[in-house]
Amino acid sequence: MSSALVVGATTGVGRGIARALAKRGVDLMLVARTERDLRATAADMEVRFGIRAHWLVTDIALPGFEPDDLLERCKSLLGDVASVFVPAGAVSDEDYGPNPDIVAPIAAVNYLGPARIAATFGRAMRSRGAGQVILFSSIAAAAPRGRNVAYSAAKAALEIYARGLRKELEPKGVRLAVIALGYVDTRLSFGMKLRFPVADPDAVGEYVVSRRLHGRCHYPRFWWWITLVLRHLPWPIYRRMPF
Amino acid sequence: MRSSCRLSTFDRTDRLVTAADRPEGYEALNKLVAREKTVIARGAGLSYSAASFGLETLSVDMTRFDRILAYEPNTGMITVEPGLRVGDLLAVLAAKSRHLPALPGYPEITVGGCVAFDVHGKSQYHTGNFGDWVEEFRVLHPEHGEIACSRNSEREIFELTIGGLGLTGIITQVTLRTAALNGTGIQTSCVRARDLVEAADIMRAHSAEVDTLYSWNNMNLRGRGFGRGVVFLEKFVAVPKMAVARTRRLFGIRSQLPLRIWTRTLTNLVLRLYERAQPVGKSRVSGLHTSAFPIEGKEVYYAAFGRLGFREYQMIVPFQRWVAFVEALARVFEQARVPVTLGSLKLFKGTGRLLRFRGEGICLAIDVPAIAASLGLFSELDRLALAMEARANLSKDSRMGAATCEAMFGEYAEFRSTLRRFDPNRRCQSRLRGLIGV
Repeated sequence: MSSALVVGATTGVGRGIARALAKRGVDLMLVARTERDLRATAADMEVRFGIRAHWLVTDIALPGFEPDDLLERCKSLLGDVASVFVPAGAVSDEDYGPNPDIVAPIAAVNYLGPARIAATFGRAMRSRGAGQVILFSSIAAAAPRGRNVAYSAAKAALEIYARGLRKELEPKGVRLAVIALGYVDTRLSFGMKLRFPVADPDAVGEYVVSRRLHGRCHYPRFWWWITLVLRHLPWPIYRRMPF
Repeated sequence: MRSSCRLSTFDRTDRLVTAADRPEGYEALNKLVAREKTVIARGAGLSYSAASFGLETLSVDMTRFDRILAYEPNTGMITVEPGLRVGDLLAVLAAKSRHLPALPGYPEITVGGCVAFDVHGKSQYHTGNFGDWVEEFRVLHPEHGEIACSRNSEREIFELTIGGLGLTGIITQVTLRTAALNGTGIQTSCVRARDLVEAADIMRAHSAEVDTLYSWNNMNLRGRGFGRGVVFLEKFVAVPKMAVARTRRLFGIRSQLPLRIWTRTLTNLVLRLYERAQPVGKSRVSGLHTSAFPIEGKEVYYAAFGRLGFREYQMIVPFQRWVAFVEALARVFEQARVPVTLGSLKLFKGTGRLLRFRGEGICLAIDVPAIAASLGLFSELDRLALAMEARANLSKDSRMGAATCEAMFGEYAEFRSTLRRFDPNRRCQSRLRGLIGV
């Protein structure tokens, strides 16, 4: 792998992935919403690891976001990118119960943006016959609840979309994976007393970068068992679950 | 997100359930600083005093601001975010044949904490404090916004922030000078000292010929052998592939054993065994990281104080008062009957400004378990320090009050008035600020 795109590169898992890639000498295109954080993250990668780190300020949730422009920008600076990682996503305190106003913005950042990037870069990779696209879901997709209801639905939609896309891309030499993340040690989980251990973002980055992932994966792995159970619980029991 | 967290001083003598947040980007940081009534920055949380939390104050965990923003190979200047750990900083610099001589003894400590306490390393006598290596920084205050400070611009805030206990705002970036690395290994020689006075004499005699020097002393001995121990003399040497070797940790730095192991009997036994184990008259070579951070790998020492924790007193005693001080100190310890688990000396040079831990003399550090008698002992040490015109280290003290502080630091009033002029509404607040009355 000589170059990679990381969307949502300045915080949490995105930064962990960028670090893991830079450590391996991979040149980067970093994408996020705030310029100051992008400059800082890119400079950090360049000074620590001696790679080239380009950056682009963009919001993948905005209607004006054009993945084709991003593809062109990557091509002009890095050539054909070998890997695309899209850990970008967001939750909202307002995403609770029936709130029609939050559905579109949550879907835009957690489903539409990542899906459009996967489709655009997947198409380019298919024509080259090589590449990988890694998308990020959540255990919430398997266990929706009253809080983060739109978020869970958006992540579930992304998983379904990736499943279909994988069927088309994999025979053409393009790997596609969706990583369902459990609790990760980010600002969202900071200070919370959780039932299960939180994963370090750098460890997530190492996991994602060091393995040849495809299909639906869980990190940490034990979440596979938990989501398996939750998916098959009968409704009368599921609705009583304390989460 | 804003959460309720149980935070404590490193010595475990002060605990508080308080609000905390850990932003990961500048947008989130700016929002929460503008929103909250009072804030205080928190780094690794390894200060012995309650400098990074307080009642009704949002403790802003800055550990995710750990990026290197720029490095200038021609000058060796490096600009970093405040949450960068000094161990990581040293690793990056060593790879570029540079280093920062004024580093504290544990790699997890953050750059922001080093600025806020103007920390020192083992080579203070030669290289000064951390603040001497700071060229410029930016500090974010809830009312003044983000201010760029250096020795030429916003000088007053610059001086107030270095060793300013984090009370001028949240540091967002720091530019540091670095020094060329004269070798990737450290050769340590070990010399026996019969007592505290001889230890200081040996250190002063060797100070010009070595890069760093410090001592270990047994403060539980009585009579003529009070403070017997060894002096470590360190020099840079060229050793290939040792610079980045790190020490293995069996315990976390905040680990606690369920019971206090440091009883009087066991302390005496362990200290005698430790003294015997020192390679007196011999020398050994260790890696840069291992030598720069001698506490790493010895975390069990702190864990063995148990849940009750410990207390540390660190002070600089003027050279000319040292002999009289040692005699008085021996009397204090004789009466106190508290096991002293650590005694250590360093040489210091420079002038104390504001509340910084600087001065000309011998720096003594002692650790004791946080048992009831330790408070009485430390009050006696306060009196002794004042009588000998010594200066205590506020970053190592979780209990010193305003009156002692005012009597000990000649520029206490200047620090307080300048800080209050800069932050009249006390938007940067910590438990330490209340305790020392600034």
